[in-house]
Amino acid sequence: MALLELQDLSFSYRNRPGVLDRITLTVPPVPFLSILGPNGAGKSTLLKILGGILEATCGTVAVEGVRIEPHQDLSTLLAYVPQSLHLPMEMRVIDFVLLGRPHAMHLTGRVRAYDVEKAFGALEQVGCREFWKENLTELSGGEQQKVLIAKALAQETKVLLIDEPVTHLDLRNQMEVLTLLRGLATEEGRKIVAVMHDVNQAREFTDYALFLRFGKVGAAGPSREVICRETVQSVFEIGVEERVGLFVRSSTKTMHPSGPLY
Amino acid sequence: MDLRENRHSREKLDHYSSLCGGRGWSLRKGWYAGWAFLLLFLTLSTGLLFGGGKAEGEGKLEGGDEAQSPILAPIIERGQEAKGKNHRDSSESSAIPIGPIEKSKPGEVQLPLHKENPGVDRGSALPQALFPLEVRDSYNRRVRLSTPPRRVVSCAPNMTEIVFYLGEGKRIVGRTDWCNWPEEAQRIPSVGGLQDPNIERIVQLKPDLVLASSHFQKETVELLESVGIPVYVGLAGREYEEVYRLIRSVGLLLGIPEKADEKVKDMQDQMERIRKKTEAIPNKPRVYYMISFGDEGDYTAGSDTHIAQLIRWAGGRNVGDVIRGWRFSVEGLVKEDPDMILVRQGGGIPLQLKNLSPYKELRAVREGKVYEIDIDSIDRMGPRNVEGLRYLSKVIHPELTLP
Amino acid sequence: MIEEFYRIERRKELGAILLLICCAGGAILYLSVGVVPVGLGESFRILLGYREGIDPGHLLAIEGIRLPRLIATLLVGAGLALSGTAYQSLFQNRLADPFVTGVSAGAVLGTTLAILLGFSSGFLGLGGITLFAFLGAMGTSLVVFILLGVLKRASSATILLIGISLNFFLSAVVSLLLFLHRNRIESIVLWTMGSVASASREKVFFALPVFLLGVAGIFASSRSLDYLVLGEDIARSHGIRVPRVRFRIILFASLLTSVCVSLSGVVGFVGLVTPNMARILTGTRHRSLLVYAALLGALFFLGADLLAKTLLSPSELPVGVVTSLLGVPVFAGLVWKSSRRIY
Repeated sequence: MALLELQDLSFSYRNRPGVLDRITLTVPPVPFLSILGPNGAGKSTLLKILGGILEATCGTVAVEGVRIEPHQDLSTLLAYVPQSLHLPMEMRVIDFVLLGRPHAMHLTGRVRAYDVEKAFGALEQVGCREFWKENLTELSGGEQQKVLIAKALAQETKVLLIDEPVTHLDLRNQMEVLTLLRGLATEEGRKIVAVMHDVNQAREFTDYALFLRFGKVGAAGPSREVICRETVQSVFEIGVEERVGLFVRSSTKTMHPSGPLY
Repeated sequence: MDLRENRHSREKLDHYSSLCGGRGWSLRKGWYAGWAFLLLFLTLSTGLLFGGGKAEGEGKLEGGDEAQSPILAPIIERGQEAKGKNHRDSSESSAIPIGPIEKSKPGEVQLPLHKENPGVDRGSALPQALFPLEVRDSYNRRVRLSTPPRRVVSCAPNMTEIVFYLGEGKRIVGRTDWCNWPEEAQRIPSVGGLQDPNIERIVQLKPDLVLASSHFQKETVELLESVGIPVYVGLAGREYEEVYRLIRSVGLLLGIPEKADEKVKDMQDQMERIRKKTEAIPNKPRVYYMISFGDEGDYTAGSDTHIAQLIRWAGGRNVGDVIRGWRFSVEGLVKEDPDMILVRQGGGIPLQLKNLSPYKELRAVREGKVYEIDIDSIDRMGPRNVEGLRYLSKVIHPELTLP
Repeated sequence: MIEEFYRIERRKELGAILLLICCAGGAILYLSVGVVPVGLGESFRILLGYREGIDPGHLLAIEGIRLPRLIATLLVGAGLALSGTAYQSLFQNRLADPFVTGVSAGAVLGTTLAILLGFSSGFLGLGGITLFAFLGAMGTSLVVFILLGVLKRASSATILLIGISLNFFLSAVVSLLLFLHRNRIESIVLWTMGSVASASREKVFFALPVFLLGVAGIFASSRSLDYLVLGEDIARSHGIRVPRVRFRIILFASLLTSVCVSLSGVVGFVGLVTPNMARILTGTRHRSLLVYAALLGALFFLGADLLAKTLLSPSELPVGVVTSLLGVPVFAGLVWKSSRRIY
């Protein structure tokens, strides 16, 4: 079963036409898919359509064989992690993660023990269990991102849709989060779809890459193949050089001089 | 995006619009509909009310639309008390106190009075000897008149009534919308409302004197003075004496002090006579003067109002004496359980009370002792209070025969 | 850690029970205080239904005046708190209050029309002002809905803008009407200051079902509110049909606010301060947040009305004045320590 099946998918905003322009594409069942491309190419939009948040103007979308229609509760199939959270009030980390368990509440308002366990477990997975009492808004960027992922994990879905997980994080946190995601994809049998900006990171951590350019598919294929000098040059319209240099990995000792592209 | 993309986008927009149905029109429809609705709403409500006019006999009984501002008064009064201001002179009746408030010293003249002067008639035998005179009004302002005033604008209903009572109604060239007694007054051109008379119209009428009471704004006074029009602001407060003093002052200003004395004595005699009669009656029913009730709040005449005084003279006991000012409470009313309730005429208030809880449980309501009265003669502090007192006495003691 | 979590949950539940007890105590105090000197024992006997040997004046005071007024006070306090909470979550803004959609201005307009057109008497002992205030408030909500319905995909910002515009517009209309009828200004201004003094059995009788409907609607939306606080995208990703849910929440919150405003006039601060207090005590999970907010609102308003009717006895203060005076320091305290949590 393919991970993604897009058939003639189009999307326009009211004041921006052609954000996605008749995309037809099939993505094989890979654990970790990255969506790359210049700003305004439609990456986040595509992710939101996959998550049932936006409704496609035309065309069809299927994730893991399931037709995505808006207004369904897809929260058992997909978990969506937004780019950032604008929370104007204080919320505890654990309460936030518990929101990932939609049936956590009894009629009386008490929280089910099963769900509390799952929530704490998800926090454990991302390594943030000690923060369960903290205010979400008072966490650092990296911790916040991990908590967002924890909530998605608590949903226990097959697919995770993540919008720019590491764009705003420092180097160390970037590596931690990416390693975490990689681990989730490989070991837990989940599928992850992430919108990313850094092609080097995508090449390193993801299995399949999809390049979008002005609403159309620029290139698509296994990461190690398609993320190469020619593709990046044409998609981003920039000059690209191949160099050998430092590539940071958080815990693994091996360093692959795998030819990062600048 | 470069130019290539812009063209792309435009083509795409057309393409998509035709593909998936245009959205522009429904948006525009929405805006028009919304605005049309709001406009309709506005027109309806304004239209309904231009027809309404000044609603007479509807809604609450006003404790004197000219001199008294019952609702705002107590709040201001308490504020002034808190500040320790000395306000012996009827601050309760002024909605906007204009200046330092002291006991008025009317009749502070620089020339001796000539008591033998005959009564005045406009244009003939005006007692020149009295003038020029200088008088202090209720706000301790100096009012100077060099000659007897021939053209007077009255900006308060009680002032109008006083002037007519003194027989000088002919001198009034302008009055407010509220001045409706006597009949002749209504034929005099109006200069507008109480708080905001049309200043231009006042000036147009070229008055020699403007008589005003509470509600008159400081700015208006200053404006009129700056164009050389003397303004006399007369207030009367808690002691009924002050009403007599007011009438005498107006008499003096008009140049007919003896007539004023006469008339005042006349008033006093009549009030006395009624008072003696009612005093003799041992049974004094407890009377509640209902200014408003229900959703509009429970307001009555407190112990320091002239209305309370009138009720006492009419041989009743004023239930509102437990408070000062005007604001009461429905529970207080239930506790006091008056023998009779006085409400304003018009609006069918007795019937409303019968249907509204908790008023319908009051003894006076159940026994049908709710009486509608004409409030003007009671509210307005002036000569008609005699009539008002007589009326009150008859209502409170129907068995009385009055002179 | 998990044990601590449960401990905190239990504490929250105890807190709610404590609030409930405080409300009950406050209610008893409220019933026994007033101009008419009814003893505590006598009030209990009246409430329990005894009629022999009871002074009819006392009976009237308790049953006819204080009891309806108590119920109205609790209703208004809880109702405003609930709709304030709903709006704060819906608009993701801690400063939203129940009047943010223009409902209060509509109520004032309704009252003004009632007074000026002379409908003060009304029918069924309800009082025209109450009725017109309610109609004005709901009418304004209707206008909001029409405007929203024709503007598809209206966002929170749009709704707030519509509310603000309606507030200004309707207030301007009221000012115009007041200007044309200056002699009636006082009644209208006083009503807007807020007072529960004219609560009666009939009013409470009619208000109660509408109130319960509104409360039920808000509570039913508590799950949606939980997600809406996080933002439209996350809510949608959980399958919440945002426009539809928004409509529902605004409908029920407007219903609640309209009922409250028709009973008591425009009372400020209760709907603004109480949800924030509740959130400090119990967090953003709406099942418990709404309960806390309702109890706190009822308690706060009860206290305010108690002060309003006893401070200047036998005269009375408008309760809206008291809530504003009390509310300002509380509000300032909340703003000062903005990220305080107790749980």
